Amino acid sequence: MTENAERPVGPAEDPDDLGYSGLPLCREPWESYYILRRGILPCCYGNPIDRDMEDWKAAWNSETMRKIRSCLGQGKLSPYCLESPGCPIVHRILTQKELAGAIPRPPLVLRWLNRLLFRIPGKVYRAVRDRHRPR
Amino acid sequence: MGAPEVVFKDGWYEEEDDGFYRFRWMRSRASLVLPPRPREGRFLWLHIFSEYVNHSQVLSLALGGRRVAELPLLQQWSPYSVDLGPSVEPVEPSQGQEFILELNKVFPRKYHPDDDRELGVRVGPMSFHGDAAGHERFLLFLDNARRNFREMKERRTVLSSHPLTLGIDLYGKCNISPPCVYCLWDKMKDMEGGQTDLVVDDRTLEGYGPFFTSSRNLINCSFGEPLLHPRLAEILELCEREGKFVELSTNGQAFTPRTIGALVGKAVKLYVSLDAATAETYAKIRNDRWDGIVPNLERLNRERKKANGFPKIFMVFMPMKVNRDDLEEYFRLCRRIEADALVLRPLIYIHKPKIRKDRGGYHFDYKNEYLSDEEFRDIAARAEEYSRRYGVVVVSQTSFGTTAPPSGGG
Repeated sequence: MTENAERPVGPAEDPDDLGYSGLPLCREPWESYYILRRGILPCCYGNPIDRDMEDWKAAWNSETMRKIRSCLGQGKLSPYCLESPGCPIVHRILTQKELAGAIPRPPLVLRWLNRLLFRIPGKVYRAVRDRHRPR
Repeated sequence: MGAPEVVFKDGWYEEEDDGFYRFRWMRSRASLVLPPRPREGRFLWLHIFSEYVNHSQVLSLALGGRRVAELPLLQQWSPYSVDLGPSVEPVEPSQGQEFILELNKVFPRKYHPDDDRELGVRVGPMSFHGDAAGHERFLLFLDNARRNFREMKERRTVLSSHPLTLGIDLYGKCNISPPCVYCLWDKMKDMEGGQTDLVVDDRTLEGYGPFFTSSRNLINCSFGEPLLHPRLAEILELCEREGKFVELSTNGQAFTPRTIGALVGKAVKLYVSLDAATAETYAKIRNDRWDGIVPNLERLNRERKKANGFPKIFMVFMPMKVNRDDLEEYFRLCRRIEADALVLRPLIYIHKPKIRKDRGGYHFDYKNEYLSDEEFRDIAARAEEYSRRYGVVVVSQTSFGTTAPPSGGG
């Protein structure tokens, strides 16, 4: 797992530049790949499974992988990453945002409704939101 | 083919150890004398550690006045295969050939402000080899690594390159049953479906084609004990031959003459997860088989010292409420078995976990065992103090996931 958050893009010819500038938020989906019995994962904290183990060849450039790379390349966490709270990068960024008050909690009534309906409304909302999110 | 008796000439500092390899820092230019090669030893494996992440540090190599390679260097330790050309008879049978190493740039001084030496790269073990096909695979590996970095910099989402780190799943069965109290065993086995018994071995790894050839690090992420694999020796032989670094996590209960024999001498980082320093704590987390573990770790340590110091032994300690009072004793244990480092690894964060087990007279509730950031920081601070007291290196994985430039950076 390799985080490169908020490092400014430096001048290309800076002799002291070790090459850390201008890298994506996390390098894992380019540099790592997990072919596991439980399925294919873009990183060791990945959740959920992208594809079954036998699809290892095709899954490397699957829609999920492309979407993750696209978001991280733009310096933001992908919807997939946000489903992986075990990831230290996700955990850290969300904690920072929560502390800064950047993630408003939904109104109490909506949270209760979500709970009463087995969290299905939340899942439907996220699925619709992700489908319409520009890539 | 064994390591050549190299004579270091100009441009080198004294030998050091960074916990993985014994190495020498070279200046921007250095020379050494390679001994006469065996006729079948056309190629040289060279291990180099560069601090540059973007492959912009380039090492030029010349043998006997003839340019033999120009290597863009990868970040961290990597093996490089160099074609030295056909072996030539030296004028004097005992005479070697001068080997010149020259860098286009050094490690910037601002990253090592307290060390006023001119530091280029770390140069580790060298060995001759005669595997022409292996050399070709190395060239593909290097070309892929550069392409992979370029594609990442260009924000490509569809990649023609392959990853440098490959997560593998060697073995799906475990010798600890019921599973360790914090293990997500049942959930993972559900997810694996019918794949738990699937054979994954050296032939499978080779079958991954460019995914295997392009990889530098193989990390085993099994929910299972990898040392139980019946072809462990063949798997590690393959990885050694192909210059791969392997990371294995073990519960420490599978050390036998067979598994120790397979591990010794191989470039393996062995993570031993004990999380306890006493039989009592161990019983609360795993089972009552504590007594055999430490003698086996001592045996492994004795055997690796007879070889080249591999595997490297990293003793994992996941601080929880149940074991946090064992921390100092765990450092003593690490010192006793001469571990390369103690790894502090946070318990995986799970949103509203429902993992509750009664074991060893203790009620384990994952939710309560998970330490807050503040509690973890307190443990990490204590660990730093014990590290100084017991001379054991501590690696905190609280910063896991962050690749910052080397310390001292602006």
